[in-house]
Amino acid sequence: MDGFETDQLLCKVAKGDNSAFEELYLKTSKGVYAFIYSYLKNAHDTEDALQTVYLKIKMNISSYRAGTNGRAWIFQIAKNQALTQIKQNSRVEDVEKSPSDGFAKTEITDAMQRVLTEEEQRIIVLHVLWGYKHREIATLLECPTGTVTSKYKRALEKMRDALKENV
Amino acid sequence: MKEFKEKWLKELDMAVPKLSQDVLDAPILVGEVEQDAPPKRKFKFSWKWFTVCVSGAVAIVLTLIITLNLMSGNPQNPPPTTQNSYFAVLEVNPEVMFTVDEDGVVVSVTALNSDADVVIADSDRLNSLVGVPFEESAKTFIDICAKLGYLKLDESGAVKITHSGDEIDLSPVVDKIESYFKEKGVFSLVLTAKTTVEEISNRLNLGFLQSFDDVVGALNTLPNLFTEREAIGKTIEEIQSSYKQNVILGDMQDYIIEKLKRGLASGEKLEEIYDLNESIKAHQDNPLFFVGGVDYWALQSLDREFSDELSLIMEQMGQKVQEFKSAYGVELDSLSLTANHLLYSVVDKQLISSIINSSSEEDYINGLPFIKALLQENGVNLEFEEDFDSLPTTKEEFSTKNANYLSKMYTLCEKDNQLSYETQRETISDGDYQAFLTNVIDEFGSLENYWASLKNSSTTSI
Repeated sequence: MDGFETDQLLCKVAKGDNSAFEELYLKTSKGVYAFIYSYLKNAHDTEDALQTVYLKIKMNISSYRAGTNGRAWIFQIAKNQALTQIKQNSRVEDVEKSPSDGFAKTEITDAMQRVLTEEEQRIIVLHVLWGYKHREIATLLECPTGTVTSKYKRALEKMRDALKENV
Repeated sequence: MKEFKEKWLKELDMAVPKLSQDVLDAPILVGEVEQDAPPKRKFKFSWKWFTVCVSGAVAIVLTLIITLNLMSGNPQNPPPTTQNSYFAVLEVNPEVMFTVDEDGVVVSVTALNSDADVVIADSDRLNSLVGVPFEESAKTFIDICAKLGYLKLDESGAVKITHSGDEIDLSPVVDKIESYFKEKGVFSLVLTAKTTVEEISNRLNLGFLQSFDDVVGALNTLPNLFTEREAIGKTIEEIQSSYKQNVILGDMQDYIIEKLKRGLASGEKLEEIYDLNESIKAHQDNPLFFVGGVDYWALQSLDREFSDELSLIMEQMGQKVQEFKSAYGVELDSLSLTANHLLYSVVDKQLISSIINSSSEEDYINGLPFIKALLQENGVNLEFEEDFDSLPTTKEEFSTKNANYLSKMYTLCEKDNQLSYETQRETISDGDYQAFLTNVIDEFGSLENYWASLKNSSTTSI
C-alpha cells in the first residue's frame, strides 16, 4: 500500500470512519506484524503488540496531520510499541516462548529469525512489505543508503540459502 | 523476488490475527469523547487547564489499556516501576517532555505548552527527536528553538532540564547542550533539577499517578500536542474561547504587535539615516556642495579623500546602514532610502502606537481587519493566507485550523529569525564559558536564582 493510500485512509479514520480503520488494518497489518516481529521474535507478543498499535492509531489519530507521511506515522507507533513491549518483557518473570508455539506455521518468518540480523530483517520488511525505497529506509533506520543496499542484498542471499535448505 | 513476496504474504495471511473486537469497538478519538462512557477510575485532578470532561477521556483510555492487559494474560502482575527509564522536562521557552528509556533513548516527546506545539507539530520534526539518545534529541530541540527565535542567540539565557530519574547521570546531556552553546557563540547555560513521576503526572493533568508505566500508558493514548490535549472533552464554545485566548489574543496578537513595533522602530532608524544622509549632502566639505551636494552612496563611489569632519559623518552613516541591514535585512541605497522614508512619513505613527498600547481585547479584535489592511498598505505582509482570526465552528475545524496555524507559525518564526540564526558568532572558549558561569553565580547567588530572574523577566515582559 502506498503512502498516498495510507494517508487517505488515515484521514477517513480521523473523521471517525471505523470501516476505513478496518480497511487500514487489512492493508497494513501484515507489514506492521512483520516489522514488530523483527523486534519481539515471537508470535504471541507480536500479536498483542499489533492490536495495541492499532488501538493507539485510534487514540492518537487527532495528532496525525493530513497530507504527511502516513506510513512513517504508523511505522513510528509500531516501533515505539515494539520497544515498550521489549521493556515490559524484560521485567516479566521468564515465560519461555518458542517463536511459533501454537501459532500458524511461518516458514519465511522463522527463516528470517534464524539467519538474518535484526537490522537485516527490518530492511527486508520495510522494502518488501512496506514498499520503502532504500533511501527512505536509510532515513528511517538512520544509516547510510549504501549500507541498506548492501545489507538488503546480503539478506536476500541468506534467505535464498535458508529456504533452499528447508526444501 | 516476486515469488518470495507472494509466498511471504500468503504466510502472513495465516499468521496475522484478525482485528480484535475490543480494538474494533474502541472509540476513535477525533477530538471528542463518548459522552455515555462511565468513568471507571477516579483521580485527583489539578483543574488548572482541563475541565471535568477530561476525566471521562482518561478513564476510557485506561479502561481499554486494562482490557488489553487482561487479554494478554498478565492481569495480576502489573509491571513494576521502571528504574532506569525517566521523564525529562526541557524548558527553553517552549516546554517539552521527553520519555527516555533505560538505554537513554527518547521514546516519545510531549509538548507542554503551545510554543512547544509549534516545534513538534510537524511529524518529520517530531520523528527527528524520537529514537535517538536523549542528548541528541535535546540538542536538536534546542537548535529548532534557536531557529524559531525562542532561544535568543544574542542574549544570555538558560535552559532547564527537570527529570524524574533515580541516579540518572545527565552530564552527557548537559555537556552536549553546553558544547552547542559554545559552538554557536551563545552565552546560555544548562540547569538540572529533580522531580517525581507524581509531579510529572500532575503536570500532564493525569492526576497523581505514581508509576512510570501508568503515566506512559496514559500518555500513549493522548495526542502529543498540548493544544490538541487541551481540546479533548471540551465543548465547541470552550474550544472557541481557548482558541480566542491562545491564538487570536495570544500568538497572533503578539506577532502582529511585534510587526507593528518593528515597523515603527525601523521607521525611526530610517529617519535617522535619512537625516544623516541629508547632512552629508548639505555639508560644506561635500565636493559638490555648490551644486546641491551628493549623498553618501554617490560620495562613496568617488575616489577621493574627505575632510576629517565629513569622514566622521560618513563613518557614522556607514555604521547605521550596516546596523539597519543586520536588524531588518534591507540593504539601503539612495533610491530605497528615499522611497522608504517617503512611505514612513505618511504612516499614522500615533494610530499605530495607540494600537500597540491598546488594552481592550474587543477593540483589538474589532480593529483586526483594519490593522491588517494598515500593515498591508505599509508594505508589511502578515503572510496569513488563511483566516486565523475567525473562530472555529466545529471540533474538526479546530483541528484543521490548529494544525495549519502551528505550521504557519513555524514558517513565520523561522523566516523572521533566519538572519539572526545564520549569523556567524565567535565560538566561546571553555575559559570564557566558565567565566560566564562564575559571573552568573556571583551576581545571582545560584543558577536557580538566575533561572528565576529569567523567568520573571519573560513573564513581566509579556
